[in-house]
Amino acid sequence: MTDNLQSLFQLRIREMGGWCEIVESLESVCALLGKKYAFDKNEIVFSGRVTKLLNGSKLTGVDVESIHPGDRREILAHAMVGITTCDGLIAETGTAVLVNHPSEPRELSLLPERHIVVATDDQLYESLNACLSRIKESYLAGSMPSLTLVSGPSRTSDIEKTLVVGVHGPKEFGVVVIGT
Amino acid sequence: MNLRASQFKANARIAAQDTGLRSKVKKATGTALTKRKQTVDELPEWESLRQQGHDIRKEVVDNIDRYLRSFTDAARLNGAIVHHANEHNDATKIIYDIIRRVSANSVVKSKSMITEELHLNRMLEENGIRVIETDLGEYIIQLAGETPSHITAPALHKSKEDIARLFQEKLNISYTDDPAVLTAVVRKRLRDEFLNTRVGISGVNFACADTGTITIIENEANARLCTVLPEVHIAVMSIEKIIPSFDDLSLFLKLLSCSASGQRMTSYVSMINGPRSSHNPDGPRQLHVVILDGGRRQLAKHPAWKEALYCIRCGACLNVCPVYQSVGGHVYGSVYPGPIGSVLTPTLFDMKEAQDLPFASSLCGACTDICPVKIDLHHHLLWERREVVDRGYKSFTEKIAMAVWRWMMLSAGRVEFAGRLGWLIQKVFGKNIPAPGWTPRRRFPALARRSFRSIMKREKNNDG
Repeated sequence: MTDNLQSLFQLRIREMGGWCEIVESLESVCALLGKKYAFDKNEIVFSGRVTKLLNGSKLTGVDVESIHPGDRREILAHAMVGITTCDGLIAETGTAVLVNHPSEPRELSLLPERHIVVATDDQLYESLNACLSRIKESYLAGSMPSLTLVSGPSRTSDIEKTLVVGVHGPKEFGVVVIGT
Repeated sequence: MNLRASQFKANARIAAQDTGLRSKVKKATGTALTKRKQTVDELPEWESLRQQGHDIRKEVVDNIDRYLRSFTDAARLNGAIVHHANEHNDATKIIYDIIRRVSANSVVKSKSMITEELHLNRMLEENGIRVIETDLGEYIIQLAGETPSHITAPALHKSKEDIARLFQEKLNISYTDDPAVLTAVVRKRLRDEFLNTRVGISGVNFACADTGTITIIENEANARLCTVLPEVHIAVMSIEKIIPSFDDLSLFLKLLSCSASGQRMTSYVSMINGPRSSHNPDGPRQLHVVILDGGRRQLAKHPAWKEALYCIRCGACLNVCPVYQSVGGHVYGSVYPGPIGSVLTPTLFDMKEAQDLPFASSLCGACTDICPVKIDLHHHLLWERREVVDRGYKSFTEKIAMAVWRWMMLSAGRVEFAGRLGWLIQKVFGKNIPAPGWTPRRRFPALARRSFRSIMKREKNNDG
């Protein structure tokens, strides 16, 4: 079942112009991203939740929480890669569901040139409905944080219906799924 | 062109001759329809989704006051400041006051049809506030000083060459008609505006009555930038944007994404649950939700016409409409063009002014077939035609002609006689008898000497 969901998710995310890699270990995540993005350490920013997920494995880049809040926007606006976790992957649409989180500001998935999500395979849902119900159930009325659904890179077809990728947001969207 | 709904006939006559416009509109709507069909064909449950969508929208419109109260309470619990506006002017004033209170002199804005309905940009600019449209299509339209010609693709009537010339002239860049380069120019220009502007204005696609969530769908990320970065976010919506529950979102996101752009899901969906707070660590410090009635509560009481309020603004009925494809959106003279515009404009705004719009249809029913919430669009057009006639808006000549036609059609003998008379007239004076308002653009059909009924009768007698 998980395998089916994984391949459906991969298919859908590719249809939308994103990519998805499945790796077996935390170390492979760091190796994959290190190889893919040979940028300066300061040009790669990840969230506190990513640090926690990687549990000691070293990823090149800066933790967004180590940046002074006053400088955060400026640095993120010039960053090449922003790396976040997510709170669900939706197979039917190729979507990553991001819940607003103190150690994962929304700017991190929005301002850098690329947005990469690191997730685990137990976060895969078949349908969006299932994932949203789970999230809604876990908060009391009036305390649900804002959510962002990301299903691909920033794109437009406003000029003669020609697809252009990378308008105002990230030009690249990728998901690394840690499988067992 | 005087772009008013009352000028529809005159404007449509001009636009129908504009082969350049027609080929641009046909190409764009054709591409959109193909993409939509590919996606919908892969969803075997599509018809049942449409029915669910219809039923839920009906439930909301039938109980609009209850859902409005519930949404307002939930949004306030989330920390949003909710404003109710009865009239269009009330809404623009509320928005203007919010901007003045924080002493801002510019706003970044994402695409929203309701702000078009409010003529918000004009009002704000007259009062010294600079409005920066950030959706690429809207940016192009604003630069050209025009209005959107489509609900979801505002610059659909412009070719890449048109846009290239516009950018060359207004932005002082060298001529290029490469969509990627033109898009990059806009990205670069707007980045700093997003980072430095203190007020963001957006529309709302769906507002959940149980959780107070406001949902905005998009592909460019400009709406995310407008609703995450500024200190103040003003979300503008009309009352019928409400859906009963957060649990209904996945259904409506699917219906809207597929119908609007042929995507299973747009690149981004923002579900906003209040301003910055203990549970929302970032984002604007103030979230204002401005809810416009603008005649909708009244319309919701009408047994038939309320259906137009089920609309989720996907724009699919525009794409599929042979009239829209031929003349584009501007000639309708309304914020909402195409079939849904022809249905909504007379009933929501002014039936006298928009009396020609219900007639801007071949009644082929393609709009009804494509509507994701199953609004019976072409029958609405028919019912509104009757209303226009009942109100006596039609000319004296047309009334007489129709009365004669009716009198004739009510008796088989009179139809028979009229047919023979017509045949005789055509035989004597030729086939092209001039009929004002009809023959200048159509050929008068040739009438047969004997009617079908009389031939039948004769054959029968011969057999017997």
